Amino acid sequence: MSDLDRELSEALAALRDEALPESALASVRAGVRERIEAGRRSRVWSTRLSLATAAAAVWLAVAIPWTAATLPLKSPRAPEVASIALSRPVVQPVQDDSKLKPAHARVEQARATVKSSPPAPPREERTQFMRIITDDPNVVILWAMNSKGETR
Amino acid sequence: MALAGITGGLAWGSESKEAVLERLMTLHERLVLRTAWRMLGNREDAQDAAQEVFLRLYRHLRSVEEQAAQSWLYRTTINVCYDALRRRPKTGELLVEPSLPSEAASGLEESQKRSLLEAGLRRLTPQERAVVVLCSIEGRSSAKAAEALGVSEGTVRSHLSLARTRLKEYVGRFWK
Repeated sequence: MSDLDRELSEALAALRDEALPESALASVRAGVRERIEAGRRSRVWSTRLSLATAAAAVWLAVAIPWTAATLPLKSPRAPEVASIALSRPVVQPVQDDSKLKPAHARVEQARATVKSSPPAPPREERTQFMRIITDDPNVVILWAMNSKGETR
Repeated sequence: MALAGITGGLAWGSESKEAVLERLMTLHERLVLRTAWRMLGNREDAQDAAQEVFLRLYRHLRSVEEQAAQSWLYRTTINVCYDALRRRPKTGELLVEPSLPSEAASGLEESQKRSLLEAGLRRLTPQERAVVVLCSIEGRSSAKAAEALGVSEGTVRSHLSLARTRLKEYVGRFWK
């Protein structure tokens, strides 16, 4: 090793033993503490903010269904049921002559009703039967009528 | 290095995290500040870098192994200094040679020699400077320096050889 090499090595090694100013070390320590404290404050606030947000979310999650359940809903109104005061049925005596009305008269009346109804649209040829019940349960009149109005 | 209450990482047991950090700062603050100062060349930047190193230590306190604490601090300090040097404007650093008497050699005082050496260090690349700081100033072996820098031992030796040659060329003009 040359003299210059040795001298260089000694000079470099001497830099290691050079005293550092105490103020520089104190400044480092203070800076570290300050930045840690600032970080902690920041974390505290962010934690509080997170908690507040979470609490608000929980409150909303609970309050909204509760409110929905307790407040009267504006649902469609139920239709009013018509109430009719029913009077006591009055039994009227049956007129004998109506019973005695001849069957053909009632047939004529029914025919008139059929005739007075509006004309039916043209249909295919089809025979309709009308059963006419008389007062006598043993007598039933069957009245056949085709689409042209011809009766039998 | 005596770090009490350690199981795996730098566990602090009953101590608070802040107390452990205070203890570690007391133990290693000179090492960190000195390394940063030699790497960056000025006190203010070195203080900022040292603060950053200890904040990183605070954040990673659990994962730092006891045996590797010093290597971890060296490695982190060098990395923080690399970052600082990268951020530094390229044209902002003036490589002013210290004022010295015209005739060199034995007439130089120690302070003048030191100024020359620091000026020579500033002329090295960051990688060369890191190797000189770790091996020649801090007295780390090539293997330890390689571990701290995350490079091979051969790379460390190569950088160290080149850096010493350049330093000798620079200071040799005045020391001889």
